[in-house]
Amino acid sequence: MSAVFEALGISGSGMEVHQAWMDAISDNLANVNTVRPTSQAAFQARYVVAAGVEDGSTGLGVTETGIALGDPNGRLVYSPQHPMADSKGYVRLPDIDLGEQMSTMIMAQRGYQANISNVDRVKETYQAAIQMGRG
Amino acid sequence: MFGDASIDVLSAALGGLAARQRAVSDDIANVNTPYYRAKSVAFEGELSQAVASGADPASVTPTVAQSTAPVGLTYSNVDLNAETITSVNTQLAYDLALRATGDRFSLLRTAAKGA
Repeated sequence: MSAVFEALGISGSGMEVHQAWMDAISDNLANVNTVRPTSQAAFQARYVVAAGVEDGSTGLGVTETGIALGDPNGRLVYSPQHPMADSKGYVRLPDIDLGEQMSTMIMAQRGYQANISNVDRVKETYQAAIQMGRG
Repeated sequence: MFGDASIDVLSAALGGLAARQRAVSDDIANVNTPYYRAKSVAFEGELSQAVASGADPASVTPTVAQSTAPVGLTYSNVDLNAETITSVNTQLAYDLALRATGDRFSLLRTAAKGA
């Protein structure tokens, strides 16, 4: 299948997946300090799973195939003053590494920007094609 | 049409360049996709052979190959720098082929109008 202006849709799929990635990271960052009692599972970080869409030729972009979840065990932190602390004084925090999330955010952001720049170039190409024969 | 070989050759070139632009878009969309392999499109060799041997340029089909370059941080082997250069290059080549096609048509138009 070859739709009109197909390359725009391909870059659009790249923008969508990178957007989903940034959303997931934002959610992970927002919950980096979410405390749970030890009787419950920790907040689980979300990881976007992506795969290329192949057509045996030049390809049709990328798609989000699912969400993988982080470790439900999280990490136990000794905090006896906390209202959610168990009898031994522990609470459960998510196992999210702030540095890792921030650097991944930059990768997602750069990927998104690369796709936007490509939309510009592809648009110019198509515009030139539309103008053919007018000069 | 019009018995003009150059328009047929330019049309085949435009088709190949459009395929390359799609491949680059696909590569950039998958710049962070694990296990994705960058694609490249080749058609120039086959096209110049067709021109040399007098074969029909429309029979030239662009071939897609996968890169064997080492993978990066996200296990994708897309090189964003190379893709950007290929993208700009392809865009300019496409513009050039369009210009040539347009000029060819305006010659025909002039001839059709007569004196």
